[in-house]
Amino acid sequence: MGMAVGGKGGLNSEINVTPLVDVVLVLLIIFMVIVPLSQMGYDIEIPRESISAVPPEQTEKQVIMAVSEADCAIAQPLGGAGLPPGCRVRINKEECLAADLTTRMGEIFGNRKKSDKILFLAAEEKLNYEGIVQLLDMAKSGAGEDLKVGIVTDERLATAR
Amino acid sequence: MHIPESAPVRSDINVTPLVDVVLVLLIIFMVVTPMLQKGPAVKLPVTMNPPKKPDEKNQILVAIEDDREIWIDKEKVPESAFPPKIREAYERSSSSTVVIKGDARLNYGDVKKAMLAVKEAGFTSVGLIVEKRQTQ
Repeated sequence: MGMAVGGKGGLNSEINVTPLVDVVLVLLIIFMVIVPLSQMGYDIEIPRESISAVPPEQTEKQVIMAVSEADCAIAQPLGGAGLPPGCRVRINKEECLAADLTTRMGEIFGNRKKSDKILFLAAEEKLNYEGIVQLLDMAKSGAGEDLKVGIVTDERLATAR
Repeated sequence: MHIPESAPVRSDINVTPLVDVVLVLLIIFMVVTPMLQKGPAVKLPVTMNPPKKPDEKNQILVAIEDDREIWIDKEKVPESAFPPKIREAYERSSSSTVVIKGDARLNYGDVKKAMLAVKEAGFTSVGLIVEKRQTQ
């Protein structure tokens, strides 16, 4: 009566790394898939003070981007088409083509202090949400990531000439 | 009785099937969890270069579907009940961030109304969630 202990093959004292490698590779793949799915968006400032409470020395620095249907016909859903050609906005009542908006924003906000980089958005309520967000995107990419965006409650400012 | 002596006795547990099962579970949960958090299916607006807006632990997700149905996190809220509900949410945790997932087909007015309700509740900032345009 006797038992052979590991008679053949000898002792293998190395760690088997294959399962570890499996785990690591799968984690890698998962994170590669998930990272592009991460949430993206724009911050909108909605301070409690109304726009009329802004002190007069700040009102001249104030930049209002007005979007009305007469300037930019985006009352219907865009459906992947993007903004219509000839779409314009008014920056402090001055017309600006949407195509030039990025450059214009760069000119206005390029050398402002971070605390002064505030854009107020006044848009007509019947306009398409996606169109407004795309205009916001252009403004933000021209002025820089640190641009703060506020919304104007009074709709009349959107159509003011 | 004859015990075959050709194969030596192995006293360690075979972990390979365990590792397989655990990995598959891991994959399932990691894929499903982000989908569950994102609320109802909303066709988000598409823009060229949206900044990252990290999903914070205590964020309040407001989703507005194209038929103007409003959801706060996973709860469907009638339009008229939205302002009191969001105020309740503010009183519960005023340090939360609010993000709005608005459908691309909505009017700006619908989203603005929701943003103003969020403001009235006491929050000072709101995020608009979008999708990045896939470049071909």
